[in-house]
Amino acid sequence: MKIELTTMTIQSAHEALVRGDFTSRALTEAVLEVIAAKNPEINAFAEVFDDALAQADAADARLARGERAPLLGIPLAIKDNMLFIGHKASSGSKILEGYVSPYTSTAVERLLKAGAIIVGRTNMDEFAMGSSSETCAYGVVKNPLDVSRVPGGSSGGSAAAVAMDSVLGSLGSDTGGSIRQPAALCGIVGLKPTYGAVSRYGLMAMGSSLDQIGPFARTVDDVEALFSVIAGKDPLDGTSIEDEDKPYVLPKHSYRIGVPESFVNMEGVDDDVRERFSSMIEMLKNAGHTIVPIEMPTLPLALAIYYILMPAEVSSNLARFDGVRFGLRKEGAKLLDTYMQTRGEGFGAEVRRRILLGTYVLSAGYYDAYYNKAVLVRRKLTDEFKAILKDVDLIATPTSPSPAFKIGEKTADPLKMYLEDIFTVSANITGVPGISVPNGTVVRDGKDLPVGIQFMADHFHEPYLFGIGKDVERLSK
Amino acid sequence: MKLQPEDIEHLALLSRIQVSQDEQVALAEKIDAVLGYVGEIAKVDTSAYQHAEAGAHRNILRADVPTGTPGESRERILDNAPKREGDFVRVQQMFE
Repeated sequence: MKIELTTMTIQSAHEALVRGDFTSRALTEAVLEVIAAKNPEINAFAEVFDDALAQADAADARLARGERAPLLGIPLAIKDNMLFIGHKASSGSKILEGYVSPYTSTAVERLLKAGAIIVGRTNMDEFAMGSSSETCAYGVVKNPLDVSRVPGGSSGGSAAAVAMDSVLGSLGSDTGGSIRQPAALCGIVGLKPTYGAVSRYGLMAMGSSLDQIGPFARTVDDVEALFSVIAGKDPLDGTSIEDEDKPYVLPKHSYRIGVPESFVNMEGVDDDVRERFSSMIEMLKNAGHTIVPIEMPTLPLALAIYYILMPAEVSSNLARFDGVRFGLRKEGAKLLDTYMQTRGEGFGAEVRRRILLGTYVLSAGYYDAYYNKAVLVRRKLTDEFKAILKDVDLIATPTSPSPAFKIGEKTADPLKMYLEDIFTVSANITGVPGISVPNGTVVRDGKDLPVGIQFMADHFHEPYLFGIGKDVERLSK
Repeated sequence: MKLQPEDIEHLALLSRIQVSQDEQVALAEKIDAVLGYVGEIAKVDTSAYQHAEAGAHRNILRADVPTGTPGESRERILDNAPKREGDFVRVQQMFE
């Protein structure tokens, strides 16, 4: 049977594998062929693992024994900041060139146990700092839908890998929008789970109070299947939450959807992106959901809070890269010279900028005005979310203010790049889950480019996100 | 107050990152722009919130017992060190 990857989902591949239409080896070989053909241009993958087919053979053996599981034999990719023992991981940075994972991250371990094939690691903005995958030390990732444009970031390689019809799903990490924004720009589904839903053991830390691992796939069903495998308490990550501490949540037939109108209508959002958003909201209303206009005065400040807290956490998390225990070492006459040279040469411009910014907001004299103030405003925003989410089930916004932009268009002006995350950061600041689902296209330079719609819900209310996401998929058809 | 290249030089030393003089000028401008943007939060009324509340944060500890990490992890950790000597990571002299 011919393997048609352009329309295949995890669900349809699973059914075909169970029926015996093809083997996991044949499926994985088809994926490897696509990567060989397309990756030289797209650069989604940093590396294809040489044991991919061996993993597929092991999955075929499990299938032959009658084992059945949704991810058994399914080829996936992981972002380059997740550890997989014996395989390289570089976080898109020169400072980690040649680094080999000494153990396996819990999220990847869970995929492997479920029988998934980890085909390779995907390119990303260096240490996940960026919204375009242009700060990657191993080359820019291109958007498979228009190679003159970015795939979004920082998990741009993981999004592009799915969008270029190779793997059927992938993992990314989301600190301020790094799963949802590339999902929107590449026309696929991306989920940032609740803070504490997925273990971060073996994920290279960026902003520890913000980071979450989450899945990409073509459909909401597939994202849900991936999430259910990677989610759960892990004794090795103290921030992961015990199952008995989570609410038991079932999807509903109709939702109360809050729309923060003045926020969505602010300057800087493309008109046609806003129109796509409004027209989906109208369709959801006609489909039986209740639309509630809401006001969240602190919401527009989420990005300002983020650009204080995140660099502060970055500056301490990245202190470990010192040329002594792992990675690059540029030896100087004295230890201090070694530190300065290793970090000066090993880190790219955006990483250096954020470490310095973080050092500034944490330094004596500025700590109260920036870091401490941001902590308080974060609590205010979190209370605002809590209050609103007592009244509505979901908060809806566009995922990003514009579709995929041209490579190089925003690299000169960091603030312009940072605004890409204006709609997504608040979920990280408050810890709530968020999903981006494709919501039609807009035209740029004669090309149809996808845009996404984002929904956020209360902590551990992912089932609401999957429920509304499937409605959006149905209405988009 | 505008950031000066000397301020960047100081931050770079605190951050242990070598930054060239040209880059100091560029960084001063770009970090200044970001600080101008994030400075907006100063206007937010947070009088209802106090610091130093432990809130939901607490220490999460587990027993100090082996977790079943594969034995090869130790060897791999040592192999990742830029300078290894037997079962040790070789470091530079710290005290003079």
